[in-house]
Amino acid sequence: MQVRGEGATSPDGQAAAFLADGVYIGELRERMLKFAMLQLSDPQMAEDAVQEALAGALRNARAFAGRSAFRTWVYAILRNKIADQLRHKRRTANLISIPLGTTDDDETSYFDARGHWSVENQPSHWGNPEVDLLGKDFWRVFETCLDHLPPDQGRVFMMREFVELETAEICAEIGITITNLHVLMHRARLRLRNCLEGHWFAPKETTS
Amino acid sequence: MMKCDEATKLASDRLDRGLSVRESLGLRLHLFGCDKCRRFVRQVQTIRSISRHYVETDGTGRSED
Repeated sequence: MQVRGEGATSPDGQAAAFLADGVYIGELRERMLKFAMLQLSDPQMAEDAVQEALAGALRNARAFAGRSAFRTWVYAILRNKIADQLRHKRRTANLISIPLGTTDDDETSYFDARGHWSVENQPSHWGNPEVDLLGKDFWRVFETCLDHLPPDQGRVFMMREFVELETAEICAEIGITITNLHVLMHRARLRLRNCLEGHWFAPKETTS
Repeated sequence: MMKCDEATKLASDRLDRGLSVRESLGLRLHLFGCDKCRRFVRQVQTIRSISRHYVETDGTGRSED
């Protein structure tokens, strides 16, 4: 990503074109809000984070030659804002403690009593997916699978893999131990893996 | 010998923390003889790349430029 000095304009004026596109900015804002809500679960804080990120990005927007560079930049700022908000919330408010499920039934079904993969859930071959080439339909499946994670797993997973917070930050924010965090990540990955496999990478024929 | 549930736990942990020598050795030994867990290891790495890609492209998958 190249960021030119302020006041720089794109040689062909391309950059200005998408910024003036109200529909594009509106859609981007919607997606950012959705993303921020997943992390912050507080509409006002999500709104603030998006507002600040978008305003900050727009101030330097003319440096960007195209939409995807701009979007990457906006999201980088948004992730920082979310991390800030989480830290701030931690300092000012009570800890939101996610109760760890007492029953780990969602995990045990992946393995049999001896700790081996249960037949119906063992990993199949995924081919060698090229992440760059995954299309729109895949991303819909991905979002659906994310939505189906239990809330505690989904939140921790996204803080770790989307916002890219360090594990210690996540633990402090949510008020769980590092051991709990690793358990939640393991469960989230098992579940997500299973969902992506069943709905995309190796959909099962009607299981007999 | 380590079981698949423990091996997948360590394979997941490895993405979030360093493993001890003992854990790392145990995991490698298990993976040597278990193709299903080898798949799991590759797939959770794929899931990580997918997640990063998702954030960068904000769910449309491909860049528009």
